[in-house]
Amino acid sequence: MYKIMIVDDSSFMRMMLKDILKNKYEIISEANNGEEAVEKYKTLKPDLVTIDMIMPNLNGIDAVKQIIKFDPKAKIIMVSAMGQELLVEEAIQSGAKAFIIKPFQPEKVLETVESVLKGK
Amino acid sequence: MEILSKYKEAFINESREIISNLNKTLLNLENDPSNLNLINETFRYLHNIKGMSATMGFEEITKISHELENIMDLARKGEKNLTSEIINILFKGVDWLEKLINGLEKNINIKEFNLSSLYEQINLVFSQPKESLKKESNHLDNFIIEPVKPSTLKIDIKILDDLVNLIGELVIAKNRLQEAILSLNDNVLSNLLYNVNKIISNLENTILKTRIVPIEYLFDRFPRMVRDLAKEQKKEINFIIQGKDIGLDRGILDELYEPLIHILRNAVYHGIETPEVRKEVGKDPQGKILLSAKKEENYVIIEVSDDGNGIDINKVKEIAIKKGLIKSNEIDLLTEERCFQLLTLPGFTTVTSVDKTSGRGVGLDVVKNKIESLNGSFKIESNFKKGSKFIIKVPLTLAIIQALIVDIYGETYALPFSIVKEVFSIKDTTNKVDFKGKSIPVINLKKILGIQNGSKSNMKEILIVDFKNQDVGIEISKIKSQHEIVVKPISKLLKPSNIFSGATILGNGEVVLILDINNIIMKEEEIGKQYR
Repeated sequence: MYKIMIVDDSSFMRMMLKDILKNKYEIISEANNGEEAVEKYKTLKPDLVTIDMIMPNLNGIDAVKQIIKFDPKAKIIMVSAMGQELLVEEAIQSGAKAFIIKPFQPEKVLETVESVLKGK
Repeated sequence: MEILSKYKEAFINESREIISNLNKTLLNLENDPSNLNLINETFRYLHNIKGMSATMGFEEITKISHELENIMDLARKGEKNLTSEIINILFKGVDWLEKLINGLEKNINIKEFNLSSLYEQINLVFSQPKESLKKESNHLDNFIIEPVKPSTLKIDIKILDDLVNLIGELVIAKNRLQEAILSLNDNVLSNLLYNVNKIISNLENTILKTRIVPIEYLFDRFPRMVRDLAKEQKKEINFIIQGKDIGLDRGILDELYEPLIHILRNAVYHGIETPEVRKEVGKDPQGKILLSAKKEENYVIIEVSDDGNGIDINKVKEIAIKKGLIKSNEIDLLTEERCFQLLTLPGFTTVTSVDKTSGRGVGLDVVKNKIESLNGSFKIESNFKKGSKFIIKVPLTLAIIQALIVDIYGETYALPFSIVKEVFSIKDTTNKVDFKGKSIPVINLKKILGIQNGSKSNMKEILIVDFKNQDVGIEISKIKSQHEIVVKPISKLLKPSNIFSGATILGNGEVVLILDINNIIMKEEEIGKQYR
């Protein structure tokens, strides 16, 4: 089973995402800010990370940059709200593989996660 | 259904936390409207609520948070200055968010709310021309936010209560074991027991500490209230909070909310003068209210002081006499401190007109009763024309108290040490004693406790306790000991009688009821009438 880490400063959002993913994947860890995400990534090496765009202590994009620096092959999916297209673009340029948009549509989320995991 | 309610609950809990944070950042922004860190933090909170409510399909909450987020976005980009009007609109929006979220919990139909005026005001913000087009920098720079809170864990208060109870049981079980081991005279076992004892007592202290939370949780609820009241009264107030990090038992913390609201309201309404009046008397037009906490041994002292108008002691005396609370020939015997205590008698109020929030039944007597029910004390100090100070003293925790263990006709009871002012011996049962030159009533507990016969002894002891600023005697047979006890809640079956506040287990395993002296005195109607 693929191991996934969820990064979001809202525990509600983490719970939502976890419930969508937990039947097909193993959620090995959660983090509530960018700094924690980078740290945990280094020790846990998950197969995939979802990262919220706007967080305290290192925002999503900087977290992506740091994770990619440590592991250029990291599979990262950005979580964003509508209206953050510019930021999403920047995140993709920094190394994120895809993005999902809040509010979550479970099928879309699963589809995106699957395609990123397969795209070896 | 079940899944839905699980999300809803999580949503409500997290939203409330965010709203409390929003009130904090907005208050800070009011004083420092261009602080980029605060702007970003506020933006992020609104953004979170928006994302969460959109996920849940709560459209109105999504819409409001989205609009407010847009305002913050403009502020973030430097296109809009956060004027006090805009901050007011943000506050109003946050209030609506809170109302809608509270409505969710009670399943109130959102259609019942009329939000059109809020949207009108928000639209005004956007229709105004852009103020400045500052630096077109990469707005990612704006995301650096200072570190927040260390990680904490939320625990149901019931679990903590259970832990406190369980440790009590453990102590009893250990005491039995101890007796058995000591009777064996075995050195090895005794040494092992010593270690276990030490660990259990550490464990007990640690568990009791889990109930202690920083007073910040209580204090943070007030700045917003003081601000709103001050605006309404057209007063300028600098509200200062000190000692936020002082810890206090969770149970006590909640009980202090209402008394403090009352005192703070009084300070805004009757303490601080209008800026015009203040200028006239040579004070800074901006008044000051200080809310502070400090620790003193096993107590926490909370003070509310203001530099307002103070209390006119002569007026207090006048009213007390007029209302028959005290005789005119007695009044001059009262010390100044005692005079201010008159304010805490039921039915006393110096303000003749009833305004919107203060007044109406909730007087300082209620404040005093509440604090005394927590085994605390309440004091008023005031300098006419210069300001007042309200001092609340409460024990750190209700879970451990200093207690007197007493014998009443052969039965053992406990009562809080803090309420006892003096103890002396008498020879015979009586219903009146002389104390400090005054004849005071004595309560015999035999009947209230339903003791049928009980052992007889020649000597009795009288405990002098304070009841609504009057001395009352309580007759007991003798004092057995004084030490710290762990208060445990008692079953509902005993509750209706209201004469016990809890129970405890003594070192020897004996279960002892704790007397609720205030309620017992209140029950003694005769005395009650005398002191009304």
